[in-house]
Amino acid sequence: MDEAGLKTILSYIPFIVLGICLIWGAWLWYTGGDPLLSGDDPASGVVFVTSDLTGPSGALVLHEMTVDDAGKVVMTASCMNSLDMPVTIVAATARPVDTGGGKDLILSGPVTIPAGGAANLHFEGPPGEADSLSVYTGQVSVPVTVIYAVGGIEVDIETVAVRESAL
Amino acid sequence: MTHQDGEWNLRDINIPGLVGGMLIFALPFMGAWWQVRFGITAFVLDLSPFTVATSQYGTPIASPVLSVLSLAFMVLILYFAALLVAGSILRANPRYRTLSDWLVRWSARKPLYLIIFFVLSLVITSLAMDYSLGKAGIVMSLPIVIGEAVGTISVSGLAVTIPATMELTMAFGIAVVISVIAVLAEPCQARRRQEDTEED
Repeated sequence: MDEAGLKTILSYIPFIVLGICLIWGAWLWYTGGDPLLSGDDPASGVVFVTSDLTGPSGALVLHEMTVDDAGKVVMTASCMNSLDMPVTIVAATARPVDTGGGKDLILSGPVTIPAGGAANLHFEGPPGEADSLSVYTGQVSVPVTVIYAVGGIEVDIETVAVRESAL
Repeated sequence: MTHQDGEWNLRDINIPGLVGGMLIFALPFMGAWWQVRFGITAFVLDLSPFTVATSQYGTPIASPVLSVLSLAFMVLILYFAALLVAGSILRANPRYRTLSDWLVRWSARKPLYLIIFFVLSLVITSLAMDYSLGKAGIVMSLPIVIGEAVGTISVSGLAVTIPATMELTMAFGIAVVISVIAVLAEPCQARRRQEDTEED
């Protein structure tokens, strides 16, 4: 083979490779689709779009919050997870803004709620904070921020009902 | 000093071409060049011309079409690397000088073209993602190619916060360096030829 022939062959090889792969890719798409390019969600259906997080029966609902005193302020809130995957609540803050100046109560630790299950969240604060919480009797609405993380995406649920204080 | 036809002279090897060509062989195996992350693991996209890895909440999402295209890019860049190495070595023999010049000219700029193509693809991808998020009701101004942003969705008392990060990786920087070395093969090839002319 002369040099010109060799150059011609070498010039055509990239186009042949690209052509074969394009035809192969088109065939794969035709026969089986492509979940990434078509936007299908093979993982769980839980994405950061609104469809799984809307309405009062949303993905994560804070049902109620009761106030108790066991030497220090402890609040417990039940929380239901209607997602089809476990959710780990990594941070939460209960803030009694009605009293003014009340310190935030911090979630005692990460809580993992199984898929479709429920768990209690325990909030703790320093002693003495009970006074600032004792005002809560009866059905009081308190702004509570619950931050849960699903794959690093945070969701704040801002309003829950606080039941009668046990203090 | 003149060389007889067919005589190999290792001093005439195109060094930038040889080094660049050898390094190009490593390009497909250096991992992702660009990473997009929504949340921590909510959605992760690792991208390079040779790799498309996506996962949602830790679950990989396979893309057969993009995988095949990545394979094509991998085969092609390895092909051009082989041509560059061959051209650079053949430069050492006057008998193959014409072929050597053609091989180097045909292959030296391809990694640079690949990087330019990749960056343009990133800009288009960034704009497409920004548009898609806006259509999905997510208030977020995504950066172009690199940067951080936080998006929010507010629905029925829920405020969803979505942090997003985009970054070019170290592998991309190395790829740029390698492509520059490969491009240097062309002027080096021409310079050698001029020296030879003067010697002759």
